[in-house]
Amino acid sequence: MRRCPWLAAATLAAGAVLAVSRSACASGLFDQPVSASELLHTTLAQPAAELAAARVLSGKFVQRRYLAGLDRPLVSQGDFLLAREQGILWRTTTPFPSEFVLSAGGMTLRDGASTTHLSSSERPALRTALEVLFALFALDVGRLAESFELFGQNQGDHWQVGLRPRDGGLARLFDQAVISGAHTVERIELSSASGDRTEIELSGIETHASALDAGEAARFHP
Amino acid sequence: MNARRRLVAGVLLLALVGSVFWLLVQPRLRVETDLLALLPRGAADQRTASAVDAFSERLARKVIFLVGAADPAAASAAAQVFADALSQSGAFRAVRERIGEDLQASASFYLGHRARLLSPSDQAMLEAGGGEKLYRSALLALYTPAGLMHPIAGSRDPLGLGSDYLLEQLPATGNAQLRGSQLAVTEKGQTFVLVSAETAGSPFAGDVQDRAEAALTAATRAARAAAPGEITLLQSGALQHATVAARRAQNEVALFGTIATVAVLALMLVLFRDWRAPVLGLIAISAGAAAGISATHFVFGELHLIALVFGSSLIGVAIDYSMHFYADQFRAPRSWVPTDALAHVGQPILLSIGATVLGYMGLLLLPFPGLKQMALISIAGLIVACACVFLIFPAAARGSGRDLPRWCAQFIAAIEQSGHYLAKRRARLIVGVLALVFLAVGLARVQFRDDIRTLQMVTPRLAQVERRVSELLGTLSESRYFLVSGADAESVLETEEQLAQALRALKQGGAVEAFTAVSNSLPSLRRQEQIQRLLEQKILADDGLLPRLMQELGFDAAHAAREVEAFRNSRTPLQPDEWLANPISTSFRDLWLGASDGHYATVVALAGIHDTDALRAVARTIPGARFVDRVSEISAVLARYRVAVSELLLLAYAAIFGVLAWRYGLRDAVWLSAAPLGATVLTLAFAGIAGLQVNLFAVLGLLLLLALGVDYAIFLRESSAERTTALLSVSLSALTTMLAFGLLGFSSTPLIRSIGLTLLVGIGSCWLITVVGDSWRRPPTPLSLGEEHHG
Repeated sequence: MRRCPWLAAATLAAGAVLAVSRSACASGLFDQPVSASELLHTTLAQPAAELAAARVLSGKFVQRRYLAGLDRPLVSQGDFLLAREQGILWRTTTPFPSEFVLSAGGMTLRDGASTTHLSSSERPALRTALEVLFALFALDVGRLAESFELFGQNQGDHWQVGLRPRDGGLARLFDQAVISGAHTVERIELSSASGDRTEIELSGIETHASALDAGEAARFHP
Repeated sequence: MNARRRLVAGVLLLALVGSVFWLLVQPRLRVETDLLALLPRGAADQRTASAVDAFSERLARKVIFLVGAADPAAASAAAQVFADALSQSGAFRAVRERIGEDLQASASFYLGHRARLLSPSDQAMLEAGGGEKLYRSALLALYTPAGLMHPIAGSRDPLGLGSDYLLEQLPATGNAQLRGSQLAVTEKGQTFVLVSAETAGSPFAGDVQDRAEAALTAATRAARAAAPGEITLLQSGALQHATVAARRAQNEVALFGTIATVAVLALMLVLFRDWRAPVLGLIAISAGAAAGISATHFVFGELHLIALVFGSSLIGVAIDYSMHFYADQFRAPRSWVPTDALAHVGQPILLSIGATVLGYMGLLLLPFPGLKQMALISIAGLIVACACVFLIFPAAARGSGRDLPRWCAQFIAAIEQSGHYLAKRRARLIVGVLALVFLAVGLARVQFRDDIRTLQMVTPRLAQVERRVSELLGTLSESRYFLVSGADAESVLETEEQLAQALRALKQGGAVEAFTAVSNSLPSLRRQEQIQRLLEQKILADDGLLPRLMQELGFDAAHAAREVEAFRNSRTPLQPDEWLANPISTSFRDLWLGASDGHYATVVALAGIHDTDALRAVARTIPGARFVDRVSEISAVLARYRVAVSELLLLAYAAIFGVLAWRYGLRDAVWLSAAPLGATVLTLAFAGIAGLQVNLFAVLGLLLLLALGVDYAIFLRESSAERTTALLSVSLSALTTMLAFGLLGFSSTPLIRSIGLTLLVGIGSCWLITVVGDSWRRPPTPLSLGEEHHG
């Protein structure tokens, strides 16, 4: 991987701004516990209903991972495909091409050189991880309420949902999360107690009412 | 000793037996219901025997619950309430509905020793030169959501080595998935949360079962109250089977005991037409029962339920002495005085009890704890019942002054006549041919089967629940496992690692689906050193993966150097004590048996065994490792003892034949031993034709048949002067014995049923052969039905 000094500086600046805004926002957000049904009576109701009706969801993402001790985030971009029957397909194009597939059967990682597959029976936390990630992207607040305490905040069309796991342990994906958006999900921020943080920005989200065809579905197989 | 003195002695005996039983035994009596407690140890390896016993006990205590609901949140909440209620009840220990919840502790444990810890697969990959692959998957984890699934944050564990170490030691969970820290399975819209627990004490102990049942009822109620909607509860483990088996066996003791007692006492009332007869009979039976139970309690400290069920059948034998005594009155109904009776039947009774007690003594010689109990309860019970007859009856009994009831006299006459009819030459021929055909067909079809599983009671409803649980969970842990032992913890762990390596290969080949080994979490010191060298060389060196990755990610050089140094310094050797004290060892503590008798041992648990032979073969190549298959070991023990008891049976026949020949001469000895011997062969043939499998317990039944059956012939031979009363006594004795053992034939416990059916058929045919044989042997004599016929 090549390093680009100017890109690093830009993302560092952006990250710092975001971090400040996040903390300001989050402190208010996590003071306002809500239930799933309360959330569904806010402006979030419409995107949630649209996403719930979709069988397939696709779009583009930018992922920024902030590691404690590292002054700039690790940035990756690509597109994703969420299919109710199959799972999550996460295709990264930069900084290097790779595929991350999470399905009921397990997790598959592919890069140019090799493929690694871990089955759900070897790693008993994977199926729950799939459910939670799917619910985050598809704004399934009902499912999220099962595993998390929910918090909510609105400003005009914009809404924010805060999540804190009811239960830590090996299967937890994050210690705190914020989903935000307006007409659809725009940002997902996941942070861990150690100070590491992952931000995912979504764009160009399309919903499809029909299931994947066989060719697309095959990409989910290990 | 005159009758009055005897009576005083008898009353004293009753008072002694009664007070000992009610004051000392009854309040403290512990009833054991574990079928395995009946059996001798496998004794394959004495050094590991105690470790195997300890682990088997632990396995038996394990109970798995599945708390199910349509709503996953309801299932989760109900499981938590259920688990809390169980653990507060005190009836269960080690109640767990969560695993790996103390992530903080596990992560800092790893970080504190990270220079000496590595998951087996990462170690194998690094040793095989797969460093680049590891490096790439670390990058993938950081640049994709895959990294979210790492329990240790990327900044603390950039290469993911710690996450792999923590995740790879999770126990095999089959279909169950972690939801939060709970393990759950979802099927057809129902989510089941797994709760595991251990009973506080042996699941076969009555008090443990009672407390567990109360705790389960309360916990189920609490779980239902805590969550909306319907809550389903499924249970798996020895507890529920043991509880049902114990309840059934207790009911059987009560039921069979009552039926046998009522029937026998009614028979006495009808035959002897005096209320004292059944009352005295009841006293003799009760005193015998109290004495038998007390003796067993004092010698063994407990009473096995199977011995108790077996003991209940002795009612039919113990009543014999009372029957013999009372039947003597028909020798001279009008002039009979009870004080005379012993002069006539005393010696046959003593001979009879002598033969029976000798037979039970044979059981005492076998190293079967359960059989010893059966023998002791019988010996003590029979002796006391017999003593009651000798001490109390002469003073307390009254003759009715009437003849044998008419129907009974006719019955005896009919027996006698059929005996004579069969004694004719042609009849002998026909009977002989029929018997030979029966024997030939039956004996050819005799099947021996020693599988312990066929001896355990199976309740269809529970078996169905058990199947449902294993379907839901998929791969369920096995009752077969490896036991690794050695002189110290280090050598055990080293052997275990050798075994684990072989098992990994077998797992790839499909012989076994999963295994759980302590050394996955706690490496031996030798492997810790290997890991340390490997990490130094491939990960921490200047050109190692960690400095390279940190540089590529953009960490500044000083930070990376500090990180590498911290990693390198986390090299305190990990000792078993520290590991045991940390939450990281929670799911391994069952497998760590620690030290016993100066030997250390661990268990390697298996899941989904597909090739037992391959596993046995592995154990043979690794000294210190042993494949433990208790079911087949116990079955092998049963087979061995079936053969041993069969030999003992032959020996007993030889001994008894010798005694008979010495007392009655060779010719009569042949006649006398023909009945039990013939009955034994007939019983085997019957088992062959009826498709009953012959096992150790059936052979033991044959041994008892010898003890009980030989005295019919002796009794007839000894009381030849009073043939009718002797015939009556023998017939009554056979009838009551068949009644009592025949009831056992209805037992829900297969081994009891086995003994019961053997004796039902055996005693029946023994009686038949005795009576018919006796007619063959002697010329027809007029029947003596009262004193007018008698000199």
